[in-house]
Amino acid sequence: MFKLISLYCILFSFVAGNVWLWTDVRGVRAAWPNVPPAMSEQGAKSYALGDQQLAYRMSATLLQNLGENDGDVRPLLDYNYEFLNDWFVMAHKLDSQSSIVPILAAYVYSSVDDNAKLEKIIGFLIDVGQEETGRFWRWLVRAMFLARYKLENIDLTIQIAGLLEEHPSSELPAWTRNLRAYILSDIGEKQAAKEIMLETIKSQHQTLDPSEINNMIFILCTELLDDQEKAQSGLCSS
Amino acid sequence: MISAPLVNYVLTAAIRDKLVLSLILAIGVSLSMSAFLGSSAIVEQGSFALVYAMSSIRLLVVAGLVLFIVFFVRRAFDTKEIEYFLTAPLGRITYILSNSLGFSILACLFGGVITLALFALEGQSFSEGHIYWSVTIIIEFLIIVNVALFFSMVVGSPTIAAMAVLAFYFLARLMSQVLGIIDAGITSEVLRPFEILMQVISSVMPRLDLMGQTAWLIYGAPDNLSLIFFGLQGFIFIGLVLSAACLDLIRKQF
Repeated sequence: MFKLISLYCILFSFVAGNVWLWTDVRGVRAAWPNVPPAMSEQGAKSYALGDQQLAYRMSATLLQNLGENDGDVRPLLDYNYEFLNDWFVMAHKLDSQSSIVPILAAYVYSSVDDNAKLEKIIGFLIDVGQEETGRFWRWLVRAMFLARYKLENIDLTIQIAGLLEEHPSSELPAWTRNLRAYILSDIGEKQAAKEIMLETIKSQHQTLDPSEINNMIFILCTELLDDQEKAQSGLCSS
Repeated sequence: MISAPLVNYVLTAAIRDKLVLSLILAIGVSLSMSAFLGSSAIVEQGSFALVYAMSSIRLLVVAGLVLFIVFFVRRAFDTKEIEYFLTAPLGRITYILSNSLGFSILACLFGGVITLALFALEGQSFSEGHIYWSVTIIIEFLIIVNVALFFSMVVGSPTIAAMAVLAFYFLARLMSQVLGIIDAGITSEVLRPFEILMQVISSVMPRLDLMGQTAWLIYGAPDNLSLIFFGLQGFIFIGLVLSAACLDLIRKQF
Protein backbone atom coordinates (compact mmCIF):
# COMPACT_ATOMS: atom_id res chain seq x y z
CA MET A 1 0.00 0.00 0.00
CA PHE A 2 2.82 2.39 0.94
CA LYS A 3 4.62 1.51 -2.29
CA LEU A 4 1.52 2.31 -4.32
CA ILE A 5 1.00 5.68 -2.60
CA SER A 6 4.66 6.51 -3.13
CA LEU A 7 4.33 5.72 -6.84
CA TYR A 8 1.24 7.95 -7.10
CA CYS A 9 3.16 10.73 -5.36
CA ILE A 10 6.05 10.38 -7.81
CA LEU A 11 3.62 10.39 -10.75
CA PHE A 12 1.83 13.53 -9.57
CA SER A 13 5.10 15.29 -8.79
CA PHE A 14 6.19 14.70 -12.41
CA VAL A 15 2.82 15.98 -13.66
CA ALA A 16 3.29 19.06 -11.46
CA GLY A 17 6.80 19.45 -12.84
CA ASN A 18 5.44 19.40 -16.39
CA VAL A 19 2.79 22.03 -15.53
CA TRP A 20 5.46 24.19 -13.93
CA LEU A 21 7.57 24.00 -17.10
CA TRP A 22 4.48 24.80 -19.17
CA THR A 23 3.85 28.04 -17.21
CA ASP A 24 7.40 29.07 -17.93
CA VAL A 25 7.20 28.61 -21.73
CA ARG A 26 3.47 29.23 -22.32
CA GLY A 27 4.17 32.69 -23.80
CA VAL A 28 6.87 31.45 -26.15
CA ARG A 29 5.48 31.01 -29.64
CA ALA A 30 6.96 30.23 -33.02
CA ALA A 31 8.20 33.54 -34.38
CA TRP A 32 8.42 34.25 -38.09
CA PRO A 33 12.07 34.79 -38.94
CA ASN A 34 11.13 36.64 -42.17
CA VAL A 35 11.88 35.33 -45.67
CA PRO A 36 14.84 32.96 -45.38
CA PRO A 37 17.74 33.33 -47.80
CA ALA A 38 16.97 31.40 -50.99
CA MET A 39 18.69 28.08 -51.35
CA SER A 40 20.56 27.15 -54.49
CA GLU A 41 18.97 25.14 -57.29
CA GLN A 42 21.06 22.14 -56.25
CA GLY A 43 20.04 22.59 -52.63
CA ALA A 44 16.35 22.70 -53.53
CA LYS A 45 16.71 19.55 -55.63
CA SER A 46 18.48 17.81 -52.74
CA TYR A 47 15.53 18.59 -50.48
CA ALA A 48 13.30 16.84 -53.01
CA LEU A 49 15.67 13.85 -53.32
CA GLY A 50 16.75 14.84 -56.80
CA ASP A 51 13.25 15.34 -58.22
CA GLN A 52 13.37 18.76 -59.87
CA GLN A 53 9.60 19.12 -60.33
CA LEU A 54 8.96 18.24 -56.69
CA ALA A 55 11.59 20.81 -55.69
CA TYR A 56 9.75 23.39 -57.78
CA ARG A 57 6.35 22.58 -56.29
CA MET A 58 7.77 22.62 -52.75
CA SER A 59 9.38 26.02 -53.38
CA ALA A 60 6.14 27.37 -54.87
CA THR A 61 4.14 26.13 -51.87
CA LEU A 62 6.64 27.79 -49.55
CA LEU A 63 6.42 31.05 -51.52
CA GLN A 64 2.64 30.94 -51.46
CA ASN A 65 2.48 30.46 -47.68
CA LEU A 66 5.35 32.67 -46.51
CA GLY A 67 4.43 34.90 -43.62
CA GLU A 68 1.40 32.89 -42.56
CA ASN A 69 2.81 31.14 -39.56
CA ASP A 70 0.75 29.45 -36.84
CA GLY A 71 -2.00 32.04 -36.90
CA ASP A 72 0.48 34.89 -37.26
CA VAL A 73 -0.14 36.66 -40.57
CA ARG A 74 2.43 39.30 -41.53
CA PRO A 75 1.96 42.33 -43.80
CA LEU A 76 3.94 42.31 -47.05
CA LEU A 77 5.83 45.39 -45.86
CA ASP A 78 7.64 43.18 -43.33
CA TYR A 79 8.94 40.80 -45.98
CA ASN A 80 12.54 40.82 -47.13
CA TYR A 81 12.00 41.34 -50.88
CA GLU A 82 15.69 40.92 -51.63
CA PHE A 83 15.52 37.30 -50.52
CA LEU A 84 12.04 36.90 -51.97
CA ASN A 85 13.35 37.87 -55.39
CA ASP A 86 16.16 35.31 -55.03
CA TRP A 87 13.50 32.66 -54.29
CA PHE A 88 11.51 33.66 -57.39
CA VAL A 89 14.58 33.45 -59.60
CA MET A 90 15.68 30.10 -58.15
CA ALA A 91 12.21 28.53 -58.33
CA HIS A 92 11.64 29.77 -61.89
CA LYS A 93 14.90 28.12 -62.94
CA LEU A 94 13.58 24.79 -61.64
CA ASP A 95 10.55 24.95 -63.95
CA SER A 96 10.47 27.75 -66.49
CA GLN A 97 7.23 26.49 -68.08
CA SER A 98 4.95 26.76 -65.06
CA SER A 99 3.21 30.04 -64.26
CA ILE A 100 2.71 29.83 -60.52
CA VAL A 101 5.86 31.68 -59.48
CA PRO A 102 5.27 34.64 -61.86
CA ILE A 103 1.60 34.66 -60.75
CA LEU A 104 2.63 34.84 -57.09
CA ALA A 105 5.00 37.69 -57.90
CA ALA A 106 2.56 39.55 -60.14
CA TYR A 107 -0.66 39.21 -58.18
CA VAL A 108 0.29 38.49 -54.55
CA TYR A 109 3.63 40.08 -53.74
CA SER A 110 3.07 43.09 -56.03
CA SER A 111 0.43 44.35 -53.58
CA VAL A 112 3.15 45.79 -51.34
CA ASP A 113 3.03 49.53 -50.63
CA ASP A 114 6.75 50.11 -50.93
CA ASN A 115 8.25 51.25 -54.21
CA ALA A 116 11.69 49.77 -53.58
CA LYS A 117 10.10 46.37 -52.94
CA LEU A 118 7.75 46.72 -55.89
CA GLU A 119 10.72 47.43 -58.16
CA LYS A 120 12.12 44.00 -57.28
CA ILE A 121 8.88 42.37 -58.39
CA ILE A 122 8.77 44.37 -61.59
CA GLY A 123 12.39 43.43 -62.28
CA PHE A 124 11.56 39.74 -61.91
CA LEU A 125 8.49 40.04 -64.16
CA ILE A 126 10.56 41.86 -66.80
CA ASP A 127 13.10 39.02 -66.80
CA VAL A 128 10.41 36.32 -67.04
CA GLY A 129 8.41 38.27 -69.62
CA GLN A 130 11.34 38.42 -72.01
CA GLU A 131 11.46 34.64 -72.28
CA GLU A 132 9.98 33.13 -75.42
CA THR A 133 8.07 30.43 -73.49
CA GLY A 134 4.36 30.26 -74.38
CA ARG A 135 2.51 33.36 -73.32
CA PHE A 136 5.07 34.65 -70.86
CA TRP A 137 5.07 38.00 -72.66
CA ARG A 138 2.00 38.80 -70.57
CA TRP A 139 4.26 39.28 -67.54
CA LEU A 140 5.76 42.25 -69.35
CA VAL A 141 2.26 43.70 -69.69
CA ARG A 142 1.68 43.13 -65.98
CA ALA A 143 5.08 44.71 -65.17
CA MET A 144 4.08 47.67 -67.33
CA PHE A 145 0.79 48.04 -65.49
CA LEU A 146 2.57 47.96 -62.12
CA ALA A 147 5.18 50.47 -63.29
CA ARG A 148 2.54 52.82 -64.71
CA TYR A 149 -0.18 52.73 -62.08
CA LYS A 150 1.47 51.56 -58.84
CA LEU A 151 5.03 52.76 -59.17
CA GLU A 152 3.99 55.71 -61.40
CA ASN A 153 7.32 55.54 -63.17
CA ILE A 154 6.72 56.63 -66.77
CA ASP A 155 10.30 56.07 -67.93
CA LEU A 156 10.23 52.46 -66.72
CA THR A 157 6.77 51.97 -68.27
CA ILE A 158 7.99 53.17 -71.66
CA GLN A 159 11.12 51.04 -71.31
CA ILE A 160 8.99 47.92 -70.69
CA ALA A 161 6.73 48.83 -73.60
CA GLY A 162 9.87 48.97 -75.75
CA LEU A 163 10.75 45.44 -74.62
CA LEU A 164 7.29 44.27 -75.68
CA GLU A 165 7.73 45.90 -79.08
CA GLU A 166 10.95 43.97 -79.61
CA HIS A 167 9.79 40.71 -78.02
CA PRO A 168 11.10 37.69 -79.99
CA SER A 169 7.87 35.67 -79.71
CA SER A 170 5.70 35.61 -82.82
CA GLU A 171 2.58 34.95 -80.75
CA LEU A 172 2.24 38.49 -79.43
CA PRO A 173 -1.01 40.22 -80.40
CA ALA A 174 -0.57 43.51 -82.21
CA TRP A 175 -1.88 45.64 -79.35
CA THR A 176 1.11 44.64 -77.23
CA ARG A 177 3.44 46.02 -79.90
CA ASN A 178 1.62 49.35 -79.77
CA LEU A 179 1.53 49.80 -76.02
CA ARG A 180 4.32 52.38 -76.20
CA ALA A 181 2.12 54.51 -78.42
CA TYR A 182 -0.84 54.15 -76.08
CA ILE A 183 1.28 55.11 -73.06
CA LEU A 184 2.70 58.13 -74.86
CA SER A 185 -0.82 59.16 -75.83
CA ASP A 186 -1.96 58.68 -72.25
CA ILE A 187 0.72 60.95 -70.83
CA GLY A 188 0.12 63.66 -73.42
CA GLU A 189 2.93 62.78 -75.82
CA LYS A 190 0.41 62.82 -78.64
CA GLN A 191 2.90 63.55 -81.42
CA ALA A 192 5.07 60.54 -80.57
CA ALA A 193 2.05 58.28 -80.12
CA LYS A 194 0.60 59.42 -83.42
CA GLU A 195 3.83 58.74 -85.30
CA ILE A 196 4.17 55.26 -83.85
CA MET A 197 0.60 54.30 -84.74
CA LEU A 198 0.73 55.74 -88.23
CA GLU A 199 4.04 53.98 -88.85
CA THR A 200 2.63 50.70 -87.52
CA ILE A 201 -0.42 50.91 -89.79
CA LYS A 202 1.73 51.81 -92.77
CA SER A 203 4.33 49.09 -92.27
CA GLN A 204 2.19 46.28 -90.93
CA HIS A 205 -1.24 46.75 -92.48
CA GLN A 206 -0.89 43.49 -94.43
CA THR A 207 -0.01 41.34 -91.43
CA LEU A 208 -2.07 42.91 -88.66
CA ASP A 209 -5.49 41.69 -87.66
CA PRO A 210 -8.16 44.08 -89.07
CA SER A 211 -9.57 44.61 -85.58
CA GLU A 212 -6.17 45.81 -84.38
CA ILE A 213 -5.95 48.24 -87.29
CA ASN A 214 -9.47 49.47 -86.60
CA ASN A 215 -8.59 49.98 -82.94
CA MET A 216 -5.56 52.10 -83.85
CA ILE A 217 -7.58 54.09 -86.39
CA PHE A 218 -10.21 54.74 -83.74
CA ILE A 219 -7.62 56.09 -81.27
CA LEU A 220 -5.96 58.15 -83.98
CA CYS A 221 -9.24 59.66 -85.13
CA THR A 222 -10.76 60.30 -81.70
CA GLU A 223 -7.72 61.32 -79.64
CA LEU A 224 -4.60 62.04 -81.65
CA LEU A 225 -5.30 63.64 -85.05
CA ASP A 226 -6.60 67.17 -85.51
CA ASP A 227 -9.13 67.99 -88.24
CA GLN A 228 -6.51 68.86 -90.86
CA GLU A 229 -4.53 65.66 -90.19
CA LYS A 230 -7.70 63.62 -90.33
CA ALA A 231 -8.46 64.99 -93.78
CA GLN A 232 -4.88 64.44 -94.97
CA SER A 233 -4.56 60.89 -93.66
CA GLY A 234 -7.79 59.66 -95.17
CA LEU A 235 -8.18 57.28 -92.24
CA CYS A 236 -11.16 58.92 -90.59
CA SER A 237 -13.44 59.36 -93.61
CA SER A 238 -15.91 56.68 -92.54
CA MET B 1 17.08 -22.36 -59.72
CA ILE B 2 13.77 -21.05 -58.39
CA SER B 3 11.68 -22.72 -55.70
CA ALA B 4 8.01 -21.97 -56.27
CA PRO B 5 6.99 -22.87 -52.67
CA LEU B 6 9.62 -20.45 -51.32
CA VAL B 7 8.33 -17.66 -53.60
CA ASN B 8 4.84 -18.47 -52.40
CA TYR B 9 6.10 -18.40 -48.81
CA VAL B 10 7.46 -14.85 -49.29
CA LEU B 11 4.19 -13.64 -50.81
CA THR B 12 2.17 -15.29 -48.04
CA ALA B 13 4.40 -13.62 -45.45
CA ALA B 14 3.75 -10.23 -47.08
CA ILE B 15 0.00 -10.81 -46.84
CA ARG B 16 0.28 -12.20 -43.29
CA ASP B 17 2.33 -9.18 -42.19
CA LYS B 18 -0.45 -6.97 -43.63
CA LEU B 19 2.17 -5.26 -45.82
CA VAL B 20 -0.12 -5.16 -48.86
CA LEU B 21 -3.10 -3.86 -46.92
CA SER B 22 -1.15 -1.26 -44.94
CA LEU B 23 0.67 0.06 -47.99
CA ILE B 24 -2.55 0.32 -50.00
CA LEU B 25 -4.10 2.21 -47.07
CA ALA B 26 -1.03 4.45 -46.85
CA ILE B 27 -1.27 5.12 -50.60
CA GLY B 28 -4.92 6.13 -50.13
CA VAL B 29 -4.05 8.49 -47.27
CA SER B 30 -1.18 9.93 -49.25
CA LEU B 31 -3.43 10.57 -52.27
CA SER B 32 -5.97 12.33 -50.05
CA MET B 33 -3.34 14.46 -48.32
CA SER B 34 -1.81 15.41 -51.65
CA ALA B 35 -5.20 16.35 -53.09
CA PHE B 36 -5.76 18.54 -50.03
CA LEU B 37 -2.31 20.16 -50.30
CA GLY B 38 -2.71 20.63 -54.06
CA SER B 39 -6.10 22.26 -53.68
CA SER B 40 -4.52 24.94 -51.49
CA ALA B 41 -2.39 26.18 -54.40
CA ILE B 42 -3.68 29.34 -56.08
CA VAL B 43 -3.21 27.89 -59.58
CA GLU B 44 -2.19 24.56 -61.17
CA GLN B 45 -3.86 22.63 -58.35
CA GLY B 46 -3.88 19.42 -60.38
CA SER B 47 -0.14 19.55 -61.02
CA PHE B 48 0.61 20.18 -57.35
CA ALA B 49 -1.59 17.29 -56.20
CA LEU B 50 -0.09 14.95 -58.78
CA VAL B 51 3.53 15.78 -57.97
CA TYR B 52 3.00 15.57 -54.20
CA ALA B 53 0.99 12.34 -54.47
CA MET B 54 3.40 10.46 -56.69
CA SER B 55 6.51 11.64 -54.84
CA SER B 56 5.13 10.69 -51.42
CA ILE B 57 3.75 7.33 -52.59
CA ARG B 58 7.11 6.49 -54.11
CA LEU B 59 8.84 7.09 -50.76
CA LEU B 60 6.15 5.26 -48.80
CA VAL B 61 6.39 2.14 -50.95
CA VAL B 62 10.20 2.13 -50.79
CA ALA B 63 10.12 2.47 -46.99
CA GLY B 64 7.44 -0.22 -46.64
CA LEU B 65 9.22 -2.71 -48.88
CA VAL B 66 12.61 -2.12 -47.26
CA LEU B 67 11.30 -2.56 -43.71
CA PHE B 68 9.35 -5.69 -44.63
CA ILE B 69 12.26 -7.35 -46.43
CA VAL B 70 14.88 -6.50 -43.83
CA PHE B 71 12.80 -7.73 -40.90
CA PHE B 72 11.55 -10.77 -42.82
CA VAL B 73 15.08 -11.92 -43.69
CA ARG B 74 16.57 -11.13 -40.28
CA ARG B 75 13.72 -13.00 -38.60
CA ALA B 76 14.54 -16.00 -40.79
CA PHE B 77 18.08 -15.94 -39.39
CA ASP B 78 17.02 -15.34 -35.78
CA THR B 79 14.44 -18.15 -35.74
CA LYS B 80 16.80 -20.52 -37.60
CA GLU B 81 14.19 -20.66 -40.35
CA ILE B 82 16.92 -20.25 -42.96
CA GLU B 83 18.78 -23.27 -41.59
CA TYR B 84 15.59 -25.28 -41.77
CA PHE B 85 15.14 -24.32 -45.43
CA LEU B 86 18.72 -25.15 -46.24
CA THR B 87 18.40 -28.63 -44.76
CA ALA B 88 15.82 -29.32 -47.47
CA PRO B 89 17.13 -30.18 -50.96
CA LEU B 90 17.40 -26.51 -51.74
CA GLY B 91 20.64 -24.81 -52.75
CA ARG B 92 21.76 -21.55 -51.21
CA ILE B 93 21.64 -19.83 -54.60
CA THR B 94 18.09 -21.11 -55.08
CA TYR B 95 17.20 -19.67 -51.68
CA ILE B 96 18.50 -16.21 -52.64
CA LEU B 97 16.96 -16.24 -56.13
CA SER B 98 13.58 -17.46 -54.85
CA ASN B 99 13.49 -14.76 -52.19
CA SER B 100 14.56 -12.21 -54.78
CA LEU B 101 11.76 -13.32 -57.12
CA GLY B 102 9.20 -13.12 -54.31
CA PHE B 103 10.30 -9.60 -53.35
CA SER B 104 10.44 -8.58 -57.02
CA ILE B 105 6.83 -9.74 -57.49
CA LEU B 106 5.89 -7.52 -54.53
CA ALA B 107 7.80 -4.61 -56.10
CA CYS B 108 5.92 -5.10 -59.39
CA LEU B 109 2.63 -5.41 -57.52
CA PHE B 110 3.11 -2.07 -55.78
CA GLY B 111 4.37 -0.52 -59.01
CA GLY B 112 1.09 -1.70 -60.56
CA VAL B 113 -0.95 -0.24 -57.69
CA ILE B 114 0.79 3.13 -58.14
CA THR B 115 0.16 3.01 -61.88
CA LEU B 116 -3.52 2.35 -61.17
CA ALA B 117 -3.59 5.29 -58.74
CA LEU B 118 -1.94 7.42 -61.40
CA PHE B 119 -4.46 6.26 -63.97
CA ALA B 120 -7.28 7.10 -61.55
CA LEU B 121 -5.89 10.61 -61.18
CA GLU B 122 -4.85 11.22 -64.76
CA GLY B 123 -6.94 8.79 -66.76
CA GLN B 124 -7.94 11.24 -69.46
CA SER B 125 -4.46 12.59 -70.05
CA PHE B 126 -2.56 9.32 -69.51
CA SER B 127 0.35 9.60 -71.92
CA GLU B 128 3.80 8.32 -72.78
CA GLY B 129 5.26 10.35 -69.88
CA HIS B 130 3.02 8.51 -67.40
CA ILE B 131 4.04 5.13 -68.82
CA TYR B 132 7.74 6.02 -68.66
CA TRP B 133 7.30 7.20 -65.08
CA SER B 134 5.53 3.99 -64.04
CA VAL B 135 8.06 1.71 -65.74
CA THR B 136 11.06 3.49 -64.22
CA ILE B 137 9.42 3.46 -60.78
CA ILE B 138 8.96 -0.31 -61.06
CA ILE B 139 12.65 -0.64 -62.02
CA GLU B 140 13.56 1.49 -58.99
CA PHE B 141 11.47 -0.75 -56.70
CA LEU B 142 13.10 -3.86 -58.20
CA ILE B 143 16.54 -2.44 -57.49
CA ILE B 144 15.61 -1.45 -53.95
CA VAL B 145 14.06 -4.79 -52.96
CA ASN B 146 17.15 -6.62 -54.13
CA VAL B 147 19.44 -4.17 -52.36
CA ALA B 148 17.35 -4.71 -49.21
CA LEU B 149 17.74 -8.47 -49.63
CA PHE B 150 21.50 -8.06 -49.97
CA PHE B 151 21.93 -5.82 -46.91
CA SER B 152 19.67 -7.96 -44.75
CA MET B 153 21.69 -11.07 -45.69
CA VAL B 154 25.01 -9.36 -44.99
CA VAL B 155 24.30 -7.09 -42.01
CA GLY B 156 23.41 -8.78 -38.73
CA SER B 157 21.23 -6.08 -37.20
CA PRO B 158 17.85 -5.37 -38.83
CA THR B 159 17.98 -1.72 -37.70
CA ILE B 160 21.40 -1.15 -39.24
CA ALA B 161 20.42 -3.06 -42.39
CA ALA B 162 17.26 -0.93 -42.85
CA MET B 163 19.23 2.25 -42.28
CA ALA B 164 21.90 1.11 -44.73
CA VAL B 165 19.32 0.44 -47.47
CA LEU B 166 17.62 3.79 -46.92
CA ALA B 167 21.02 5.54 -46.93
CA PHE B 168 21.79 3.76 -50.20
CA TYR B 169 18.44 4.88 -51.63
CA PHE B 170 18.91 8.53 -50.63
CA LEU B 171 22.48 8.56 -51.91
CA ALA B 172 21.40 7.03 -55.23
CA ARG B 173 18.75 9.71 -55.61
CA LEU B 174 21.11 12.52 -54.65
CA MET B 175 24.03 11.30 -56.74
CA SER B 176 23.52 13.91 -59.48
CA GLN B 177 23.78 16.67 -56.85
CA VAL B 178 26.95 15.18 -55.41
CA LEU B 179 28.51 14.78 -58.86
CA GLY B 180 27.35 18.28 -59.80
CA ILE B 181 29.18 19.76 -56.80
CA ILE B 182 32.31 17.77 -57.65
CA ASP B 183 32.20 18.78 -61.32
CA ALA B 184 31.67 22.44 -60.41
CA GLY B 185 35.00 22.29 -58.55
CA ILE B 186 33.74 24.33 -55.60
CA THR B 187 35.13 22.13 -52.86
CA SER B 188 38.49 22.70 -51.20
CA GLU B 189 41.73 20.75 -51.64
CA VAL B 190 41.17 19.11 -48.26
CA LEU B 191 38.05 17.44 -49.63
CA ARG B 192 39.77 16.14 -52.77
CA PRO B 193 40.17 12.56 -51.42
CA PHE B 194 36.43 12.51 -50.61
CA GLU B 195 35.68 13.66 -54.14
CA ILE B 196 37.66 10.72 -55.52
CA LEU B 197 35.90 8.40 -53.06
CA MET B 198 32.49 9.68 -54.16
CA GLN B 199 33.43 9.27 -57.83
CA VAL B 200 34.36 5.64 -57.12
CA ILE B 201 31.14 5.04 -55.17
CA SER B 202 29.05 6.68 -57.90
CA SER B 203 30.52 4.32 -60.49
CA VAL B 204 28.78 1.37 -58.80
CA MET B 205 25.58 3.17 -57.80
CA PRO B 206 22.40 3.16 -59.90
CA ARG B 207 21.22 6.64 -60.93
CA LEU B 208 17.81 6.58 -59.26
CA ASP B 209 17.59 10.37 -59.62
CA LEU B 210 17.11 9.89 -63.36
CA MET B 211 14.13 7.58 -62.81
CA GLY B 212 10.53 8.51 -62.06
CA GLN B 213 10.83 12.26 -62.52
CA THR B 214 7.49 13.88 -61.78
CA ALA B 215 8.10 16.49 -64.50
CA TRP B 216 7.28 13.70 -67.01
CA LEU B 217 3.78 13.48 -65.53
CA ILE B 218 3.14 17.14 -66.28
CA TYR B 219 5.12 17.94 -69.41
CA GLY B 220 5.52 14.46 -70.91
CA ALA B 221 8.68 12.41 -71.36
CA PRO B 222 11.71 14.13 -72.92
CA ASP B 223 12.73 12.98 -76.39
CA ASN B 224 16.10 11.58 -75.30
CA LEU B 225 14.64 9.29 -72.63
CA SER B 226 15.79 5.68 -73.04
CA LEU B 227 13.92 2.90 -71.29
CA ILE B 228 16.63 0.53 -72.53
CA PHE B 229 19.19 2.38 -70.39
CA PHE B 230 17.00 2.12 -67.29
CA GLY B 231 16.21 -1.55 -67.97
CA LEU B 232 19.89 -2.30 -68.46
CA GLN B 233 20.84 -0.42 -65.33
CA GLY B 234 18.26 -2.36 -63.33
CA PHE B 235 19.40 -5.69 -64.78
CA ILE B 236 23.10 -5.04 -64.16
CA PHE B 237 22.67 -3.68 -60.65
CA ILE B 238 20.27 -6.39 -59.55
CA GLY B 239 22.74 -8.95 -60.94
CA LEU B 240 25.52 -7.31 -58.94
CA VAL B 241 23.72 -7.34 -55.57
CA LEU B 242 22.27 -10.81 -56.06
CA SER B 243 25.63 -12.34 -56.90
CA ALA B 244 27.13 -10.58 -53.86
CA ALA B 245 24.29 -11.93 -51.66
CA CYS B 246 24.79 -15.45 -53.08
CA LEU B 247 28.54 -15.29 -52.41
CA ASP B 248 27.90 -14.12 -48.87
CA LEU B 249 25.40 -16.92 -48.14
CA ILE B 250 27.64 -19.58 -49.69
CA ARG B 251 30.57 -18.48 -47.50
CA LYS B 252 28.41 -18.26 -44.38
CA GLN B 253 28.98 -20.90 -41.69
CA PHE B 254 25.86 -22.03 -39.83
